[in-house]
Amino acid sequence: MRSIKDQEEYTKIVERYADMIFRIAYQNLFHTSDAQDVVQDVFLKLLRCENPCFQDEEHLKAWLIRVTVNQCLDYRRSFFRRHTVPFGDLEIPYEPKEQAVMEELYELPSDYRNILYLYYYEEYTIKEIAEILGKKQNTVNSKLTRGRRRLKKLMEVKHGELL
Amino acid sequence: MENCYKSALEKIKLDQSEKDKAKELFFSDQETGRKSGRKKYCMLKPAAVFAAMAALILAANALRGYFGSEVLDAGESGEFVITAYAQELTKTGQVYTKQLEAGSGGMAGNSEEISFAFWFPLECRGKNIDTVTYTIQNGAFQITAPAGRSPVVAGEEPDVPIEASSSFLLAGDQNETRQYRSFTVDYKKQSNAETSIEVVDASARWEPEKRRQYQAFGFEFSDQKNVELEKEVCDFLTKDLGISCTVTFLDGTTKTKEIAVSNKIVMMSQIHDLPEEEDFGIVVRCFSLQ
Repeated sequence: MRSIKDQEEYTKIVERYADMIFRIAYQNLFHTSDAQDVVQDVFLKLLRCENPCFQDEEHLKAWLIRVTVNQCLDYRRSFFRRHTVPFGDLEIPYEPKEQAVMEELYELPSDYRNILYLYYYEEYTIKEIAEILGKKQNTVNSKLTRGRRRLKKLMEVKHGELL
Repeated sequence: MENCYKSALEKIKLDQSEKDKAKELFFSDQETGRKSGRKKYCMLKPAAVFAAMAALILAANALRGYFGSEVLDAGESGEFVITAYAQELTKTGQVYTKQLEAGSGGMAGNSEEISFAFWFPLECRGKNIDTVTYTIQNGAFQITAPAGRSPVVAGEEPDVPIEASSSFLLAGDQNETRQYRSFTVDYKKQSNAETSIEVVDASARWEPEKRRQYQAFGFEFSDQKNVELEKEVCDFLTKDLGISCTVTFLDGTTKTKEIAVSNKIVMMSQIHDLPEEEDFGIVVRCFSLQ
């Protein structure tokens, strides 16, 4: 068991997972400032976690992912959230193919993006993704398939490329 | 393509300054958070300025059809109508804001203090109208436009500027943001594609009694799932803005109409294409005549 009991431990967690949280938040909100706020909110929740004990590193990571996704949902639910802008407010020097992928991702529903991200980037299994997101495996599987198909279709239609 | 996907995502990284800020939470939360609950402010960051400009352009483009320089005449001479999104405001018919993705509004604060801004998508139509003047009793109009290209021909500024959530967002090197208690525009140039007109207010300038009334809601920004409570808060914020619209006709006569702002819960799917499982209720601003 591990807990967030001292500054050194907490600082290591921030260094290790801040980019991951930001990456998930940005994919959900496509707004740099909002995604940055989500990062702060998630770490605040970690500090305030009533029972901050994690079985292992994977448990902590899964918790952070789940809280990030939920936090993003809260942001999206608020009408009075800040102005949002479409993909492009983060100034990243993408290669053309990378740019194309990001533009297509922007057109997917957020839950598809999250599942694709956890599967392809974080390399979780479908079972693990289902546990992290609190969804049924069948749901994750079908959304992964559909997301992959939609991305592939979008790429075929717009860029003549295959995923 | 999978490699492109990974490499594209790999490039999304958090600024070191933001990481440092997250690290500092350890101390700030120990000092204040665990005792009294963190006061969350959602005020905007400098990084959002450029994004905001893009949002402004996007919103403006989306509204170009309603705010173009070619304003259609309507009604008899001496009469006028007020429209939002090309729909006429009436006493019974509410027109609600639809620009949720850009330019829709912003709110910042916590359970004790609050500031807000929301899009003001109105224009007047009528015959023989020279100018249109909007006045607000509580709060201010906040108008952002490229320097020198604001549609405002005359205006009265508030005694003290109101610090509202989006004033910073919409500021930029090329844009100017000004606040008005009342402002006048030419009928034929009521707005333009580059201009943002918002209504703003902040609890910092309220009387103590009104602040206490707001605090009684116990509204926490971190828990915005309670859409009914959010609507109650919004109703409180917009109930006494006291907005009026006065048109001056070419013969010098004037006519005034009072504008009511209310709030309504709608399902997101009514406005956006959304998967059924993701649908949720949101609070939107409604405009009507008093």
